Amino acid sequence: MEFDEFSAMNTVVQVAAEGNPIDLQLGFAQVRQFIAECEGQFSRFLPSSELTQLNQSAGRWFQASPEMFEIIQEALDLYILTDGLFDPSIMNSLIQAGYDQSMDKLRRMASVPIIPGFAYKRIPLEEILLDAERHAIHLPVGMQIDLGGIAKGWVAAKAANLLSRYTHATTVSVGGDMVFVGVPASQTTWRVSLEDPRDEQCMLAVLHVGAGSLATSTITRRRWMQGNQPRHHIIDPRTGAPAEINWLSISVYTEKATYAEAFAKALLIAGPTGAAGLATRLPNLNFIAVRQDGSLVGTPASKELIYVPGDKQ
Amino acid sequence: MQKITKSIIHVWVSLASMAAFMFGWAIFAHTEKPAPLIVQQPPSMQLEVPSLEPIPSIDELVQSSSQSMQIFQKPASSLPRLRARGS
Repeated sequence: MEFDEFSAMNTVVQVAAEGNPIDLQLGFAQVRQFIAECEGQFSRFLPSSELTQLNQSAGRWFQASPEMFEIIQEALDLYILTDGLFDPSIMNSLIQAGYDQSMDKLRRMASVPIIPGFAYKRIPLEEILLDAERHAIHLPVGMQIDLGGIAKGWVAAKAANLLSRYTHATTVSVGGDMVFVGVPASQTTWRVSLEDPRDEQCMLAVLHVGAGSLATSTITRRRWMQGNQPRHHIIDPRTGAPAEINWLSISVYTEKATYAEAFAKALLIAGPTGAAGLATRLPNLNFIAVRQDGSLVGTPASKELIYVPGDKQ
Repeated sequence: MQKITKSIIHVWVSLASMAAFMFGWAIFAHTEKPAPLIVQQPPSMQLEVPSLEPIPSIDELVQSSSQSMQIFQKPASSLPRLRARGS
């Protein structure tokens, strides 16, 4: 198994693949280049990115790239599927909460100032107009999009697809979004350590997963102080404020990376009372949530994801 | 004379209207009632909300299996390098 690890999109990218090392080095280089290009396209922190230009065009039609159009279209589908709990139009709320610069910069600051005079007014995502023939997008006035997680899932899937030209078994992880193609030759599944959100040096379980996507969302990594208030990046679109989260993290396993990512956020916001019902919206979705005390809870079938030592898997 | 005719016509129109209303009411009251507009989903369409279940953690697995002790007492580096870490 060959590995590559680097920083991009304000997070850690992990790539693993099985096959000819020389071929794989070529594949890894292509993945690095592809992800760098995607960062230039989907980052809200880069003034020249396509996303920044899209946000600046609110109120008029914007000629988008096919990639941007595809992601926005999926975001709209997921917004409906999650009853609006996944909503990429929470960028103004993120800025209000102090997340107006990259996490690397934010982590270096002791505290960010409180921005006074912000009144949250939710604009329904359905008000985005799409012209599929021209790949044009029309954001309503006042709407700003943050593609954060969904872009990472999308990028991980495309990168894994890119690498699959060189290997029968590969995985790409962009931040919390992992995509698995095939399985290693000597095994029937991939084994993945489930990190303890309270201490990244500790593992809570070993998961074994086949081809598909595993997305993990947590409130313990992207945290900062605003004034004397602790903040995190999971915004509840219903209130426009950082969500009141009961679980520390959630890992969602399903076929498609963008769906796993969006549902991870939505289920984390839905919490213990709403998550089980919401999870039934997507066939073949399973999740494992980490409670405050580090214990695990999930959909009944998610037990099958836990690797039990001594199994033949 | 004209006044009497007018009164007769008024009475006749009133009685005819009332009779027509009563006749209509009797007809509708005795017709078969339409089926209620409640669509019952076939059982297969009804989604059951599963309850969430506790899942064993590494510690519990270690306690329940002597073989697992051997595996998990190895250094952390022996755990899979791939990590499901949130962002």
